[in-house]
Amino acid sequence: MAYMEDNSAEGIDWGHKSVLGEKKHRCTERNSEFTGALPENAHIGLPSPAPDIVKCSLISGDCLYFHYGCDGQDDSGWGCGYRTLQTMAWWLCHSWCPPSPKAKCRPPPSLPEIQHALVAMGDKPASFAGSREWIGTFEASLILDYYYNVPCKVVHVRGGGIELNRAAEELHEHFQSQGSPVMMGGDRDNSSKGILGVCSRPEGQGSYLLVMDPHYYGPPLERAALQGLGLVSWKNVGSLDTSSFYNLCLPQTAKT
Amino acid sequence: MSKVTFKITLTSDPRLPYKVLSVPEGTPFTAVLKFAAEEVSGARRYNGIGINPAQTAGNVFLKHGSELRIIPRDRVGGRGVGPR
Repeated sequence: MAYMEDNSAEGIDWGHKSVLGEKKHRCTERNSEFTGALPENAHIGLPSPAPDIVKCSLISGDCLYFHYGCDGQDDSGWGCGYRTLQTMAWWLCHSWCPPSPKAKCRPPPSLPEIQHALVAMGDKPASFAGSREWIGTFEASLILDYYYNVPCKVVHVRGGGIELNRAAEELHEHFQSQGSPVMMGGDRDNSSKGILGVCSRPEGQGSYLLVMDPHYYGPPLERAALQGLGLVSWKNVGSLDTSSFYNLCLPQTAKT
Repeated sequence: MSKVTFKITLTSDPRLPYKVLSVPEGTPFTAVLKFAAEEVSGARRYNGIGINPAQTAGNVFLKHGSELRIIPRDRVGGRGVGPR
């Protein structure tokens, strides 16, 4: 599998990656307390993306913003999938009431822990541990099942506007019945996206995804700054790459 | 040893080609996938609804039933590349 590096100026405008330009800044010491510095519910207060929204579905409970380097490990350029996975894991730990109390309160696994788990369960070779290799929604589903006993539904969207709008309906159903954040990944569009909500205009007129972008590297930011940089924002489904397929990882957390 | 039967569909192809396989329940599921993927298309990877391929066909059948789907894996890391 080839791993793409972005050396071009092209790209979908998902917002600024870093406020600090070329300099890298140490975020926090790598310790178990780092999550105290991460912004919570960064999506709160965002204005509606359109005046004629007829349906809106959001995550339940609270959500923490994990991003490049947020625990002191510099994963710029390769760790975005891991960071979105950590956002989902934190939600399971703090905002979900599992059937079994023993499953609760496992803190989000670190990047090395994620890699070692994928090796341990046989999905990756031993050389994967300690590498800078990318993961995707399938690996995220394996990790959430491994650490939290939560199965995930992986929805494949072949690409194209019609398929993406159908995916918006799937997301409405998910947030209303399950409530957990979603991870979105693609092939041509190889940028991980945390999806925290979806809203739709009248039928046939399009939808918007509430996207949390983990590609930020820098010190913790306040909610207003994150929103101002577009790191948490509503994105028109029509702005997605119609030539890319997408997969959605939907944790199944509803009580049966 | 008894056998289990799967219908494995390739969802990335809009024609939804599929293969029906019957294998001994102790068969490593990775072998089932490899054969199904080669038969259905050139797909090299399997994705289901959270199914870890590193288990026996019998276990997969008990947990997830007989109708499975092949989905291409995504890989995310750097900034996405898209059309202007």
